[in-house]
Order: sequence, then structure tokens, then C-alpha cells
Amino acid sequence: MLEASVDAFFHLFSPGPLLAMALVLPVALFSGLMPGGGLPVSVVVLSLAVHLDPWVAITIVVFHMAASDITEPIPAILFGVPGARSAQATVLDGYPMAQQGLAGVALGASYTTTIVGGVIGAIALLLALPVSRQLLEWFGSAEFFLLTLMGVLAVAVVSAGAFVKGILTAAFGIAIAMVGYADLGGNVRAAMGFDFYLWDGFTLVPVVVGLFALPEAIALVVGDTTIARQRLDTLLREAKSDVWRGMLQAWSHKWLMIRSSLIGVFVGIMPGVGGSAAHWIAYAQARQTEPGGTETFGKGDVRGVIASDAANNSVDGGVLIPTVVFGIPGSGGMAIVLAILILTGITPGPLMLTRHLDLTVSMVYTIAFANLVVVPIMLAFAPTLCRISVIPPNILAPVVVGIVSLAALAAAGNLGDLGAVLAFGLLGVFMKRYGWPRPPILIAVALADILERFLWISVSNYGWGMLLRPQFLAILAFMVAVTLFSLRAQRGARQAMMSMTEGEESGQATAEGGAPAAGDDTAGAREDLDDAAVREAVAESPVAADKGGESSPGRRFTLEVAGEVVLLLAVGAFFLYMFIDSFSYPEGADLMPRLAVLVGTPFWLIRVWTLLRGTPEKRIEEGDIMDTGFILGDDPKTEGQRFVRIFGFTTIMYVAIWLIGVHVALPGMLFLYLMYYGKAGWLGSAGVALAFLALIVGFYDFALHIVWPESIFPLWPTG
Amino acid sequence: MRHMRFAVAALFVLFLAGNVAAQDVNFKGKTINLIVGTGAGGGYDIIARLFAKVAPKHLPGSPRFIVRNVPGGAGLKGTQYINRQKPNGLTVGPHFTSLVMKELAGVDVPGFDVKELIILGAPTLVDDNYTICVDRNVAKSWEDMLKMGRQLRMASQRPGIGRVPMGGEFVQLVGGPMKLIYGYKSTAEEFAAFARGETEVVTCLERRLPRMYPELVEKKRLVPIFWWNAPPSEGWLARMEAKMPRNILKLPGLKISEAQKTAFNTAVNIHQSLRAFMLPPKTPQPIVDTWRKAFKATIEDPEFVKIATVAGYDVGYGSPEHYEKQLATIKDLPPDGALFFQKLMGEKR
Repeated sequence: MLEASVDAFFHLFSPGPLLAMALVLPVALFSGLMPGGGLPVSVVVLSLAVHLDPWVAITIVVFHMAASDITEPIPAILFGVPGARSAQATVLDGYPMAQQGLAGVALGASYTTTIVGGVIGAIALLLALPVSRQLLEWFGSAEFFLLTLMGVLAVAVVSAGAFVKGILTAAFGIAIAMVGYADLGGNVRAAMGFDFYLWDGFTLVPVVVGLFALPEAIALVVGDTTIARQRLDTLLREAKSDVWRGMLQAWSHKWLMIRSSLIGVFVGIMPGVGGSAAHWIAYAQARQTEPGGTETFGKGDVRGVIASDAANNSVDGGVLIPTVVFGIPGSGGMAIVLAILILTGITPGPLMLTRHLDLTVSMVYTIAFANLVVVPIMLAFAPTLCRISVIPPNILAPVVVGIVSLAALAAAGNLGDLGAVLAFGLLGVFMKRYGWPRPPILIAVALADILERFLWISVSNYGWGMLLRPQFLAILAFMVAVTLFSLRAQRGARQAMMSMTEGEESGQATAEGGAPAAGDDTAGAREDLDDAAVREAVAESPVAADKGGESSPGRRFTLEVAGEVVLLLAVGAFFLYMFIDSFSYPEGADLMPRLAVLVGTPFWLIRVWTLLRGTPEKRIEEGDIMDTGFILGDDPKTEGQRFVRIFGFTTIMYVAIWLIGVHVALPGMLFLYLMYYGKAGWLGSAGVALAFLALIVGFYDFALHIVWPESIFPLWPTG
Repeated sequence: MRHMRFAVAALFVLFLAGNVAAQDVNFKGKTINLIVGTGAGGGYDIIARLFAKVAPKHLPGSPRFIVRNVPGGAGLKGTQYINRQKPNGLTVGPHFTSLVMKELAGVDVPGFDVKELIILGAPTLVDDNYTICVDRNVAKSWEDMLKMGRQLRMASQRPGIGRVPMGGEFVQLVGGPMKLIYGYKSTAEEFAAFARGETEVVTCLERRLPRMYPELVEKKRLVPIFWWNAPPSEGWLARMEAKMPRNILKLPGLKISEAQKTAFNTAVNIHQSLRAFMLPPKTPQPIVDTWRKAFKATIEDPEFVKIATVAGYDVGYGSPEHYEKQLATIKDLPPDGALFFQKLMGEKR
């Protein structure tokens, strides 16, 4: 092992891999910054792999993966757009922090956590490598199911304040994820007449883009507000000190970082489970175990960012193990690593721990090295990135819509995905507007397939005896013990805190516009923040204000309530369709769709009953939805016009892409919007449009060879 | 007589035109789009990239190759994309056997017509051995399996797909003591499930299983039960310390009709032509001929054989004629054989 470690070190830091890393670094940074899933740069490496030395090819792919994962929390924090695989839970607290003018704090904490998570992940892996095969063969599908279930149970955590809506949306998310071809039955499920388009179901990128990016962009334009709504006068001036403050805050939660990193490693190494569950589990455990976490998480608590990002980066190392040792890739990036290994004549398996151990160790080094190189760069740029949070909405929103649309289109080259973005965008707007939490849908869509597979495989292989497997019980007991211990510790900490602060801050922290309880708790639980401005910002959180506004009693059956009725009708209709359709599915393929409908229906009925017959207070279920609300002013007409403007722009742009192709339509529409609504001037608008054209032609066409959907009257030669 | 002269003259002109066209097919300065209907990194993608590296030197004009991934619909989207392109020889790609099988099983696959299929040849046509092994801790023979009175579990990805678990699917369908557990994502996952004792039966591929799980061989956990396509090599049997297992179609205790045997053999043969390359429909014959020649030369090129072998693939050229002959056998199946074939393909379950 020692010899391999030394060999790996000298191989990695030889001229070839070093030069490769230097070349790929700027691309990786840019890739991670793109909201909506990043750029599939690894595919380029795959094209070159047959010409490259395996050390160089592997180093490039692993370095790119690790480096772009480091930058993925940036769109989550600054735009409220989670990554397609990583940084999903980061959005829950990172974006509210940016709205509070604390983007610098969030970024500083994120990067510090990232480097710690990455290095802990690498060290844990090095230690685990020699015993990894024996360890992993001890676990089976039942345990993989349990771990995935833990990720899904994060739904209960992220919707703790709105339990009915949370479970309902999670069940809806699982039902959505069931659409498409089912491996278990060999049939297409609930395709609604779009059998060809929906053969592969709703893929994650259009769902993420539609559900999160589009509504956030719309919210900016409708509210005519920048991302940062507070500390506007000091935000840029104090950006550097904010970043430092974030770093210090992350460091002050070192045990949380370590704990979350280890969760990332553990979940990551489970073959087939993948990394998506890791940060949700880490986030959920942090919310339940950190003092005051149940009250402050989701409102801009830096600990939420820390927990998510620590797991987010340590998981990278974790998924390496099943890839190289068993040939089971834990993510899309790892599938490329696997292909490069095969192309260069290296068979994944036990030889990776003997004959090719140096190569395996070098991958671990590469992940650690990527963290050590990229994090300082990003820290240096963090104050500049904070400027994004004060860009005028009519400039930022269309650019974000353009980028994420490009990402959605390039992911599968399918025009139908743009339709899906619009549909999920509308759904996201409704959910955001009527206080339905969106994260449960994301969790469900990300994990439903894995959950279904392992549930079916486990029940088929073990029957209900799987519940008695020692491994299953060991994980379950560990989870219960940790939870009980943490709850006890949390209760003790809360009692101590209450006795210290009793009577001191209750009036001061109450947020304007209602939600007194949330306001109290938010301020109380963030006593660890050493900056008065930060505490003040949280107390005046626009999120808290939104929720407070919503929870004010006295709302009658208004147009607003009718809007939620429409939402409920849509969800109910889909449940009914899925349930009826499920009777045509073969055995196995019908289990999860029916489970989703059967779990969701009672909550749907409760919500309908509450909305139609409940008291006004009960109609508006708790405001704590772990999601960002809509800030609305007093002029519904103008806001309606703004909504039509930005949504209409997006729709027309998509129609134009269908008619004349992406090369002309996307830059052209951006140019028009920026000229007329963004007031960016000829030069600025043309500059942005040309930058998009350069991105499409230079990167997607020439480097990635993306096959764009065919347009009716193409104005740009392709192919 | 005048008409006869005219017809002879016309035929002569056509003949000359054909010859000229064949000579004129030249891809100099052109770019060939090699369309892969899966995401980057899979078996189809890897073979395509290896092909793209060697093929230029075998095509007139040494064109540039670009591999483009068009994933979706289990290969259907990529196939449809190829079918929509101009038949000028500049778009080519591996087709998906499962789509052909579905069409032949009576399922109308949108945007795809097997009658219009122009096949160039298959790159990995070899007489691979597929042997089903049982875990020695569970049973030691086929007779033991029958006596157990229950179905032994075997991991698989989905009904009716893949040549690796096909024997298991067949035995399950004819009422043998095997049950396929669907939902695993790859052959590697199927191996892993067997290695950790989650499943009891596995297709023990000589080239892959011992490399990934040498302990299964060392601890003598593999008991070969039956084979199809080609018998296991003596060397492989010696490593497992086992005697030659039975042919799948001669397993005692199973009632297998002639029609079922024919359907199974047909499905196995078609699967052997996995990853066969196709051109868009209506591609002119001179271009097809040029491509077929270049395809064969590429697959038989020692450079291709070397890099594909390094990547773990056994290379073997399968001619278009061979492929078409296999397709014809499906059309000739009797009704009960056709129905069984549909079941093997995962339809009519």
C-alpha cells in the first residue's frame, strides 16, 4: 500500500497529468458554475481516451469531476438552482442566505466545508481501500434500500413545518418518477400518450431546471428585485469579510463537517445507491441533531450549507470504490471513468486493489488535490461572485433562463425537454406561490428509481426476512441510536440555551409581518453567528417575511385559494391516472406507483378538506415549507404583466428554437429581451447574445458534438 | 427490335453509371457522424469510438469521424435519428437488436422499419460461451435444483433483454426451477449480487467473472449447470474443477417443444449480431457497397482487433448476409414458436 501510495504520488505529479489538470481546470470551474447540471466535459476526454495515456485520461476525468462538484454549490446559493446530482440540499439554506445578503458568508462556509469534506473523503477512502471488497460484500440490496429510504425520509425533515404538503408532494414526485419505461416489467408506465418522448421518463435536468431555475427567475422579475434583498448598501463592500466570516463559521462547526463528510463517504461507497442520497441524509441528520436546527434550517442557516456540502464532496471519493472495485459506477461521471478504464485495457475489479493500486490511489489523490487547488481560487473569486446577487432582475433572469435552457436541451438533445421545463416551471411557480415545498419532489425524482429497484430486489430475494438480516438491523440500530443520542443532546442544548436567553430577545427577533415563532427561533438558534449584521439579516429574512405574510389569518376562499385548488386538482388527476394505469402493469412494475398513490391520496384528501372546509388558519398550513416563497407587492396587475413577460419570453424562445434552431433563437431572444426590458443597451445585449452563440458553437458544437433537435426552418447549418 | 435496342442501351448506361458511382464514392474532406443511441461510456459507445479510430483509413478519402451520443428510448432515438438523415453515407451507427426483435415479435416500433434496415455488418460476432452456474452452497447439480422444489434466483436487468441472462429467461419460461429477479442495472451488478449470496444462479462468463471475482473460482463456488451458444472451454471447466455441463435444450425434466427450441436458437443467433452497424434507409447501393467493404476491413484490421481486445471485447466480423439470414428464420417461425419468441423478448408476459 505504501509503495503504491508513493508511486501514485510521483505519477500524478509528473508533467503529463499536471499539464492535463492545468488545462482542464478553467473548463471545470466554468462547468460547475453553469446552473442546471454543468457541462459534459468528460465526454470529450472519452473521445480522446484511446489516444491518451491512462494516467492522463483518468486524471483529467476525476479532476474535472471533483473540481466542477466544488463549484456546483455556487448556482445553488446564488440562483437557487440545485445541481442535477450534487448540491441539491445546499439550495435550502444557501439561497435564503443569498436573499438575506449573506451570499459571501454562504460561499465562504461552502468552500471551507468543501475542502474539509474532500480531504476527509480522500483519507477515509485510503483507509477503507484494503478492506473495501470484504466490507461491501457484507451489505446487500436490503441495506442499499434502507440507505436510499433514509434519503427519501429527508422529505419528512425538509417538510417538517408543512407535513401534509410535504408528504403529498413527495408522493407526487415518486409518481412522476415512475413515468416511462420500467425495467421491472418491461413496459412503459403512465406515458399519457407521449410514449416515445416519455420512454425514459422525466429526466432530472429538465425537472430541476423547471421546478427551481425557472420559478426563481420568474420570482426575480415579478418581484422586480435583485437576489439580495437586504444589506444592499454593505453587501459588496463587506463581501470579503463575509467570506472570511463564512469560513470561520464553517470551522466552528467542525464536528458537523466531519460527521457529514463521513456520511457522504459511507453512502457513496454503497454500490448502486449513488451520491444523491448522501447530502439529503447529511442535511436531515444535521437539521435533527444541531441545536435549534429544526427551527432555523431552511431559513438561511449556515449549518444547512455545511452539512450538505461536506457530504457533497466526500461522496466523490466514495463512489470511486464501487466503480473501480466492482465495475458499478455510482454516477454519470463515474460511468465515464469506468469506460476510460476499459478503453485503456484496465478491468475494474480486485486488480484495482493489487496490480493497479497505484492508479486507484492516484484517483483519491486527484480528488484531494482538486480540492486544494480549486477552493483557494474560488475563495479568491467569492467576493466577485457576490456581485451576481445585486444584478438587476431583468438582466440576470433572462441570462439564467438562457443558460439553464441550454443545459436542458443539451442533456438529451430533446425538444420535448423544453416542454417539460415549461410544464415543471408552471408547477414550480404554483408550488412556490401557494407554499408547497418543492424539495420533496426533487428528492423523490432523484431517488425513486433506486428506491423502487432495491425494494423490489430485496423483497424478491429475501422476502420480509430482509428486515431480520443482521446487516440491515445493524444499520437500523445505528441510525436509531444516533438519532436518539442527538435528540437528547439537542434537547439538553436547547434547555441550556433557553435558560440563558430567557426573556432577552423574544421581542427583538420577531419578524415583521407575523410568524413570531419562526422569527424567535431563527434568531435564537443562530447565536453562534458572531456578527450582529448577520443576526439582524436573518431576523428580517424575506423568507420569514414571506411565510409570515402567508400565515396571517383571515384569508377566505379567494382567487388565491382557488389557485391551490387547481394545483390539487392537477395532482389528484395524475394520481387517479397513475392508479388506473397501474392495473395494466406486469408484476413488480405496479408496486411503487401504487404505493406512491396510496401514500399520497390520504394527504391529498386532508389538504382538500382543509382548504375547502377548514378554518382560514388551517387552510394556510404552516408557513415553514423549507422553500423560498414569492415576494409580492401591492400591485397585482403590474406583477401579472411581469409574469407574462418573463414566462412569455421563455415560451416564445422555446417555440423559436423549435422553428429556427437553438443557434439563432436563443441568442436572438436574449438580445431582444435585454435590449427592451433589461435596458442593457445595444452593446451589452449584443455582447451577451454573442457570448451565448460562442458557447453554443465553440463548446457544444465543436467540443462536445451535441446533436441538437432538428428545427422546422433551420437558420444555422448543423451536423 | 427498336425497343429492345433501347432497353439494352439503357441497361448499359445504368451499368456504367453504377460503376462510375461506385468508383466515385469518396469521402475526402467529409465528416462522418457516427451516431450512438446510448449515453457515453456504454458498450455500444466504446465499440463505436474504437471503430471511429480505425475506420477512416479504410474509407475512400479518409474522412473525419465524430461520435455523437443520441441516447433515449433504449436506442430508439438514435436509430430514428439515423433513419431521418440523408442517405449519403455520412451518417452511420450501431443499431439495437432489441428494436429488430420487437418489430419481428409484432410490436410496431415508431420511426423504425426492419424491412428498410441496411446492415453493414456486426463487429463482435463470436461464438461466445454462455454457461449458467449455481452456487455450490445452494445446489451441486441440475438434479439438485429440480429436487429443491423451488425456483432459484438469478439477477437480470429487465424481461427479454440481453444475451447474458437469456438462458435463465428461457428456463424460467419453460417452467424450470429458476426465477429471474429484474431491476439490476448491469452485468457487473448481477455478478455482485451473486458474489454476496443475494442470488443463487449466475451466467458465469469466462472472460469477465473470474477477473472481477477470482474468489468465486478459488473457493469453488461455481457449479456449471448448462450452456448455450457454445460449450465452455476445457480450460474454463478445469479452473472451475467441473465436468462438461448439459446443453440447455437437453435438460432433463423440462418439456421443451421444437417450436420453443427454434425460437430460442433464433433469439440467440440474432443476439450474436449485437451492435451491428446500419445506414439510413434508401442509401444508394454504391455507397452501401463501399461502406460494407470498409466495415469489414476495419473489423478485420489488426489495429482494431488489438484495441478492442485490450478494451475487453472479442472481435469477429459478422456479414450482412449472415444477419439477414437470421432475420429470415424469425419470419419462418410457426405460430406457437412466434408466440414463445415474443415472450422471450419480454412481450406478451
